[in-house]
Amino acid sequence: MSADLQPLLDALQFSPDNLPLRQHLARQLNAAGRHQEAETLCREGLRQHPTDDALRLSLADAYFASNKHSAAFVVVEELLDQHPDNAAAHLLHARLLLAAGQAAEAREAYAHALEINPGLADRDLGQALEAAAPAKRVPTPAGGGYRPAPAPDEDEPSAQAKLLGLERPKINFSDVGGMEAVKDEIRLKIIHPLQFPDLYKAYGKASGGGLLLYGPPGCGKTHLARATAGEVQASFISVGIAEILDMWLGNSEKNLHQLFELARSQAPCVLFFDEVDALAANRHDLRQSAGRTVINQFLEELDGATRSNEGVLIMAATNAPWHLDPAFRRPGRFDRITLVTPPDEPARAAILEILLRGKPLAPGVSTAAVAARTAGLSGADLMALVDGAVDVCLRASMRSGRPLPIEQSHLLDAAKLVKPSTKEWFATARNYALYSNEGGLYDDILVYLGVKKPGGA
Amino acid sequence: MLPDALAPETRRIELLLNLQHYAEAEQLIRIALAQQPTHAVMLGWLGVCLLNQHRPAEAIPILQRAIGHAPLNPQLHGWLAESYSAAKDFFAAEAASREALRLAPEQADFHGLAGMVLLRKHRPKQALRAARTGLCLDPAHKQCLTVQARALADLGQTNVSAPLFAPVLVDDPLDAFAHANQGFNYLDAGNFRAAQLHLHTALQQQPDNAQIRAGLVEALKNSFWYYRLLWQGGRWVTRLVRRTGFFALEADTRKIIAYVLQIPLLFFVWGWAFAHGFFSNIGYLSIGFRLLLLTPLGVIIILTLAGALLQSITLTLLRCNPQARPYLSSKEILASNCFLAGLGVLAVSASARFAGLLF
Repeated sequence: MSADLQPLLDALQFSPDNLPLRQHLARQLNAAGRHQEAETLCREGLRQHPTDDALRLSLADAYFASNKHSAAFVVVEELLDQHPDNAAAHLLHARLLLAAGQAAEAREAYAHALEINPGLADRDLGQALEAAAPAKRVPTPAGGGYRPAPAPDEDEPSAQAKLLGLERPKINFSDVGGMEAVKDEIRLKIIHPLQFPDLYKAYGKASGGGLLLYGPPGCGKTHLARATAGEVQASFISVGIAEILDMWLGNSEKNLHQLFELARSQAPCVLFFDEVDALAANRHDLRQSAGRTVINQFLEELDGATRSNEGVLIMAATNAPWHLDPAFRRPGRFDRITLVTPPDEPARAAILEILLRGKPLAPGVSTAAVAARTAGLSGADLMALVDGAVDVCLRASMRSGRPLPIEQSHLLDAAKLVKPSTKEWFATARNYALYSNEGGLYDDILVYLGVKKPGGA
Repeated sequence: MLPDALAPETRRIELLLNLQHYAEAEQLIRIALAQQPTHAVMLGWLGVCLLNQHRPAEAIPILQRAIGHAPLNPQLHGWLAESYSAAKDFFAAEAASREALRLAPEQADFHGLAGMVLLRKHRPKQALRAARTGLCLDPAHKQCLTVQARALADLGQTNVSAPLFAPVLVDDPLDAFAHANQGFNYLDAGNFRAAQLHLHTALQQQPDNAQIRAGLVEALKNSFWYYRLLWQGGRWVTRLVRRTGFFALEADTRKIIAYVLQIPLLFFVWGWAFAHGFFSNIGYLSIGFRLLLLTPLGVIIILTLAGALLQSITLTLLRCNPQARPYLSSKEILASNCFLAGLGVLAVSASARFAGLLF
């Protein structure tokens, strides 16, 4: 069989834009059990024709056959979202659901595939479904047959993808108030290399690797990462502390690999690890040696040892960059590191605008004036400030017996009561920046604190 | 053993504790405790979380509750001892560490803990005994090694204590703990250059450790010859005071005595002020003042004041050194500022007097 396919492979190499040939070859490679090659072929084709159904289906087939179920789910469900009448996709969906142990849903998907194209009947699959769960009929409005799975909103990722943390952010940098310096840095460090790879290559700059955002809690690191995904119109996968713990407790290495596979299948995609120090802890500090294998797997995935990370922007956030294993800061990994400081004045004004939206405000309330008096406060602190002002206003309303609007004085008084929660973080960070600042890694902290001049020695 | 209902959460909590994510662990523990409020291990872990978030006062009642439900768990008594120690209640810490030792005499951890508490109570002989017992059980136990070294230094046997951590550093050349201890040992032995090197390495590994930073500043100060004299004098006085049993007293008693001892200092300052006509021109007080200077108390007071002055001068000199400046704390900078302000006042008054003589 492989010899039969060689002329086709040669032909495709000669004319890589031949879509029907690529589709046919992908199917043939899958049929020949050469799933890895089929996958590569489909992914190359999808870069040129991202909406081609046949290639997407072959890619999902290849994923399914290679036991990359999460990735296969994502591709199939996206295909079904756009074309709910694709019978072959429903059939593959049924197989995937059965493999995931969701027998009832698998039955529904299979029935729907047959409803569209009875010629797709698969006796083995039918028997497996019968054995897995008893048939359960769901009445449709018309009264007969199986009810097809409702087509979700096109902009919303599927439930399975959501489970894996996949989303399509609707925000971009214009939704992040202020913080221009950080946004510029993100543009320079990861967005431009993705958008202009040739230019970067010409100057000998590597375009891979990840970006580590660090800074005090409550300063919008996750929001920035999401906006970055929106800025490049990429998918966004957010991995929080809960998922990271699951990784440590369960099939850690496999889960991590699937996550990266999902990101690769969704390229361009921003893969974001929140509180990454929990996953990339310093191996020297770890009491359990079992955890080291997870760290090694993470390093391998970052390096793209098994599969290329092309089109995947890897971002991470942490409050404690000093707890990260130094191996993560080597070139090609999290070699670019950016301090996300508490919001600056325009950012605070923007945050206050959002927090006060929908609340009764007296005329003349100026968020800019409040922002000017709240230097050092984080987003979370500003929320406490608004809560405090609302409480005062509510009490006054109760006393007067009529609803009173929030006055400027309420906000300014509340501002006096809120202490910056970032102070403690900066006290610790200052020590690390002063005494453990190898290669000027934490110079940004010293500049922010005024200990060092920007660009100074 | 933990009940099944809590088992998956228990693994998460253990993991978070292992990763030192104490705030997140605290949240999960509180949720688990809402289901089983009398769970001793969960209560103990909550105490650990609070202790590691620098909230020992909150940890103590939680750990006491945990012990109420599992009085025979030595680990809970150990954590309670650590919490008392962090809250500087060393008498209660000693009682809790003794209870932990009674329940598990075979664990080197508790001997190390007991030794550490005894050290902080300025009882180096007993601390040394506890450390050596712990080292019989585990010859490489870090806390016991530390206590042993510190106790030997406190007993004046610095030559014995100085090389104690060398073997640990051979195994792991970046071990912050060993570097810090080795640094303090060299500091006690008077080898300030070696102390600086070790404490500097330790601080690079643990930049947030105030004790190591203070040790490094002390080593830096000792690069001035006059400060070395002051340092030796200070250590001699500390040993003298230790012999009186002052440090073995309860913290509150020590405070009262310290306040009472300050009264002569007050008289001294007032006497000096009167003698120099700051308040009036009652010159006969100067005779009394001069007599006071001749008494041992007067000598001690003068030496104390001279010491404080030299401390301020040294801090100011270190501040002028760009290599040493980053290691000074805000309090030390403040002390230097006060000294500079005093110097400024003196300079202005001297200039005024000089100008008065001229015109």
